[in-house]
Amino acid sequence: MSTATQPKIQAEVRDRTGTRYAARIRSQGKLPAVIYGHKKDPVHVATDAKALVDLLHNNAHLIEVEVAGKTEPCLVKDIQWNHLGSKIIHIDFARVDLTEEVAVELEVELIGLAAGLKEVGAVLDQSTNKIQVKCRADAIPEKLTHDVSEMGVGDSLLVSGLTLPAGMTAVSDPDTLIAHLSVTKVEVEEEEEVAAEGADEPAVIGKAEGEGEDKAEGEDK
Amino acid sequence: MPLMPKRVKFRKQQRGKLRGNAHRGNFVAFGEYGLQFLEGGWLTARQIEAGRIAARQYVSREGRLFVRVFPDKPISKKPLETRMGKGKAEPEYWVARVKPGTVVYEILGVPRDVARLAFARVSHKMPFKCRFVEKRHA
Repeated sequence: MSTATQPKIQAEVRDRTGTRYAARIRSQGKLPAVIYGHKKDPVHVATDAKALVDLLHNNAHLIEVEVAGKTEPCLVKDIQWNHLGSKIIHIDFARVDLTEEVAVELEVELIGLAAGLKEVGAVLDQSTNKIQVKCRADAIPEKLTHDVSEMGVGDSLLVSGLTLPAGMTAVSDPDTLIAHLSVTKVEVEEEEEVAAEGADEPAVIGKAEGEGEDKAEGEDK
Repeated sequence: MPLMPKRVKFRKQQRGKLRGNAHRGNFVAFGEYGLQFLEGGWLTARQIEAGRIAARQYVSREGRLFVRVFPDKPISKKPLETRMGKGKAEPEYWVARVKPGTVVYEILGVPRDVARLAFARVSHKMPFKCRFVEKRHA
């Protein structure tokens, strides 16, 4: 759970915006960001990249951003990554009131060793890692945890099966699959099957069987 | 048998251009670990299959392997000792267009060191530079 004191970060206002100016800011070890929301004008800011990335790696959702001597609590709304997914290139902050209810995306961490994993070939497939929840801004946990030690082969965990902290409701569809424990099948070599079909070339949509392209070309000539 | 589409609208395609970086399919989405390409180009169906077999043989029955690309582009090739002209040749093989940043293989349910060694074997089969990546948590 978040403590009463939120992590704090200092930011300076960016006068010029755009790709080139943002790239210059990044080369100075800073991270471009924008603060918006609560019917106030958006403010383009630059923060210390290392400090902010460290906070995000620690699953901080609510951060107090100090801009020009004024501090306001902000929610991390969006994170943009570079094409290799190795660097954060821009952050969106949304202004929040600490007492208001906000929708936030939280990571779901499965803890414990599932009983069904003792079987040969069993795999715990976590298909959903993040779910949308609604809670008070000052009560956002770092992540949601769920104990899967009682899961057997064939068992599934849905959003509705998660035990959420008090005051928190799930926004995501209750039938969304989070994890499923199954035994992987032995992969059958499909070579023979395909060879039997003789499908060395795909069928052309909209053309009858036996009507080749060559024939059509011949007719044109 | 290498992958290829079951049905197509047109049998032959122009070569096209492959510009820019991957802005989709550039993070580990289904598994825990992945193999990310750092260069772009055409990845043939045979190369995809070779990589899949290399990874599958290393981890044997453990875990689950995902292939995130599909070869949907036909490549034509003129037969040997054929004079130029006389129209476009017949499709010879199929390729997937891969941009820098694309995660091509993913694996689930195996320890990190096993996944790393499996993808090291796969990377030897690949025609481009690639690297081992993990699921993003931040």
